[in-house]
Amino acid sequence: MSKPTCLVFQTYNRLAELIDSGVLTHPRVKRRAEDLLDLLKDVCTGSSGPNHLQAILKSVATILIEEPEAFSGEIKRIVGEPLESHQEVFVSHIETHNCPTGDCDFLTPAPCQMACPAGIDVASYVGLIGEGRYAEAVEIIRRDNPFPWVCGLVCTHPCEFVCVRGRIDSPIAIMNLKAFAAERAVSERTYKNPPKAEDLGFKVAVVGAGPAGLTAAYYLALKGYRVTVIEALAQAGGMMMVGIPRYRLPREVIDREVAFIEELGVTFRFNTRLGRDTTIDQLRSEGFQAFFLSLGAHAAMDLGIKGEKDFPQVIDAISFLRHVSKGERHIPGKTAAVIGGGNVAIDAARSLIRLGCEDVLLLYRRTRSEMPANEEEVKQAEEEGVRLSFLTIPVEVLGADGKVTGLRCLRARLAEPDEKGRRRPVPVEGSDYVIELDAVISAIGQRIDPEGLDSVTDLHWTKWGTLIADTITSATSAEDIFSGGDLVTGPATVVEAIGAGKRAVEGIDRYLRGLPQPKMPPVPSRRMRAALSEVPAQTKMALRRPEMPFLGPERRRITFQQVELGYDEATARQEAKRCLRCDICKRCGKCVKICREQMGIDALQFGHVDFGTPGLTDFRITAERCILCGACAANCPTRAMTLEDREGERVLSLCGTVLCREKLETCHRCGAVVGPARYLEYVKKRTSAVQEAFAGSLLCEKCIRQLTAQSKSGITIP
Amino acid sequence: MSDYYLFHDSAKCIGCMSCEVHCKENKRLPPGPRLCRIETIGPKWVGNIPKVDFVFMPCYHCDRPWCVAACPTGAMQKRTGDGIVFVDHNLCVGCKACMRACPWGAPQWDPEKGKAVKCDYCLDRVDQGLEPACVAKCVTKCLHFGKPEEVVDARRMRHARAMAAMATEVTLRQPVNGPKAKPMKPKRKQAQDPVEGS
Amino acid sequence: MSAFRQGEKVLIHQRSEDPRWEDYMNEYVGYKGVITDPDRVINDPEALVEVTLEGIGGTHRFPQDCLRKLV
Repeated sequence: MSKPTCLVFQTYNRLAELIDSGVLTHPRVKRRAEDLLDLLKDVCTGSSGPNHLQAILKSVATILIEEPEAFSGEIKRIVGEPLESHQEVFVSHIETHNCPTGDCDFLTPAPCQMACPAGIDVASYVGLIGEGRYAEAVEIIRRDNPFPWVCGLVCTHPCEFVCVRGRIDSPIAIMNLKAFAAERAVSERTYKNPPKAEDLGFKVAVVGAGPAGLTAAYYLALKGYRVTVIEALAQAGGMMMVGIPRYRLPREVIDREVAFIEELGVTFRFNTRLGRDTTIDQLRSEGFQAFFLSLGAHAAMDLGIKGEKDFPQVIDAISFLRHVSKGERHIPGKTAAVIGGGNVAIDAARSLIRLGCEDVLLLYRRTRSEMPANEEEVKQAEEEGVRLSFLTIPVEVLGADGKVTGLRCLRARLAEPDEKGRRRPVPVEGSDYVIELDAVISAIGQRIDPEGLDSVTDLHWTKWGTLIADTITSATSAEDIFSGGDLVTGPATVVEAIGAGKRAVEGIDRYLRGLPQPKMPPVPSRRMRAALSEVPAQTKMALRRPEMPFLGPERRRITFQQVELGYDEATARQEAKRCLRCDICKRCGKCVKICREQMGIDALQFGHVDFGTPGLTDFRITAERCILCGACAANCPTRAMTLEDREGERVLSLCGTVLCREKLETCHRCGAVVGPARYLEYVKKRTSAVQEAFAGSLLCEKCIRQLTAQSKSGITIP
Repeated sequence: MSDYYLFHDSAKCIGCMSCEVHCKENKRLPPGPRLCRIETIGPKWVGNIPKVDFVFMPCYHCDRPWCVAACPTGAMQKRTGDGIVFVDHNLCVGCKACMRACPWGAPQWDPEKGKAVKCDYCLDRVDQGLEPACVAKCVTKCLHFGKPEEVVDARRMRHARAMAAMATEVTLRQPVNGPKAKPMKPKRKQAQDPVEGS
Repeated sequence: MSAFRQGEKVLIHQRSEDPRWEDYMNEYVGYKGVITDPDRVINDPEALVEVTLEGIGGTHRFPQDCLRKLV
């Protein structure tokens, strides 16, 4: 696997080499080439603005037209050709300030941002939270995700899995911080919509008011489109509303965030199912010019066992959770079993407990270590009284008089791993037994409900029942229809749906404006370079990820009240300060290498910079060994490492973490700063073999020169 | 010392800074570092006349340089052969130890590169048989570069000529001798004015 | 199959023949990553799973036959 190289960076370097080589002997050509180089440098360092592309194109054109071919030919080859063949890379650098190859130092993205399916600028908003600037943090999040609060509660947080801090102790609680900031901003009434662009007049219909559809509606509305959302259910939110139980995601949270989308002028048609209450053709005749299909995966997989369809007390988890979310509070039975080992199974089991089921059993055909559900939630379910039964395969639902009475199951054992390392559950002959119960909830998966979709012609489907749409543009085989979310990916996460909605907006916008579609997948945008919070090394190391406070299990069993109680302000701000700010430090390890190998000081212990084999990181060691020479800072390509003189001290910091600080000595003659004692001592020691020139008095460079000059001068100063 | 000698005839120097400008231009230096410097001493009143002295301060390319001793990375080197002290930028990491160690403030800081820079007598030019940039572009031709034995010591020559021209007191601080030169006036060697010297 | 769990390390060890494998994924062969959303359709080897790739790879849904678990 070869490392991809950044074309913009390459172009910049080639032009710099050309100028340095001295080939451009004509002064005007050289000047023009240098101007062009400056523009390219801006693009590589994130200081480019919306006019940079035009300026670069104009600059190249001027050189090509006005200059002799001997010089312009080279510039055409070096700059003109990549601009023509890969203009989108230049545009992406200018628009997103992000260089995913990591070649452009200042534009190297933080791993958390790259991991986020919605591409949120995580490091920046975490930085803002650390400074107590919650409204700004929410504003940054909402540039990529209109549901900071929802995602703060239910995201699968891929960001935390790649968090660099996780290599030192544990990842930053990114998700919880997001929830905190959103909650604060809503509560303080500083959660605001950004200004809307001027009305464009185009009407766009979004089908499905789930996270994908609502996200598309939000960004389309911001761009000035007139958006109408068609929804089969009676309220907005989709799976967030009817699939996620209230104790994890209170409906007020969804309602609040949906209200902000509505505030932008998005209109909703509830209880309107595509194919039954309306059709695409009908909508076309109403003047809608583009469509975004974002229907969810609301149908359940069948268990495929005997008796499954014979009793009303055998319910699929999706329908069950939907009924509960709508306010249905009757238990399907006093003793219930949930079949499955995923998050939906856990959600169903925990909902059954809250509804008042006396005995809730969760049946899974493999063992605990194979359960796909989130570990933390499995633990919470157990605390609430859900019993887990592993290596259990249901084979038949038993019942009498239209009522479930039991479930016949087989014991299973895990077979030896096959060539791919999978261990299949194998039923044990003759191990069947009956569990007495009066309700069965099946949670073995979701799929797309094709009902109504067959009314849309020209669409192409996969054999798994998902819709085929372009990953980059979200376009389907029908020209004016775009799609994203579960309908395309199959059952996925909220944040992926949000990412899909956002991507689709770009595609729809370009389609309606008649602009060419991009050729490569979008790259997350770096929204800002948030200020670095100053934290002493001691504190940075000592801080630990705070435990999320939970509602007690005894109370959880009787209410749908939110389980997570949230961080308090002090906790949240402290947690934010644990962040290493990988948006600034690209972890190239140059500082460590220079300090160890070239200076021979070895004061920097940053084991976390090594991706392959993370070593020990201890920011506190620096203060013991560092001489504050500043070589690390001088060689830092991103200005993450800084050496600063302030208030009589020299301070070395990495992304705000103060690694070393010492009092500064001053010139005996003029009082100018000379350096800290340990640095002066270091130089003195190294030069001890050479006779000292100004022994005894500490002088600054300027005074030394003045005194020398005076002694050499023919006239002496009185 | 290096094998070369850079002589500055301060009597001819008018402090135009051409040497500094061409040094920076030749080395393509950003604002900040000045590898050779004209240090201005004075003004000092000599009678009713303000006197200013310009002292040219390049690197002296010491025999046992402090900067080379201080450099932890081996970037600062004394060239075997001719003794020119120079920085290898591939090795310099910008710890500034050389800058601190030098008693004359010769090594300078290049904020763009983040490395130390210093006068190396323009060794690339020297190797081509050229003079350093400062010498080549000196407006009054008060800078001279070469092997010590080749460099004409203007001071000695001037002194000798002056001695021959008039049998009177001469100093080292008189204007250039030549057809257009004004007649020299005798002058005290010490510019110290007892009245103002308090 | 399934048996992928959240937080497990995997390697994209080969391209998949699955039609849902897209061209842009080719460059990810050889990448390591973490399962961030395992197969929800339990025991369905045909379900896509969400993998967050190390470094700057991003987060994508991959067919399971291109993934190999790392210990």
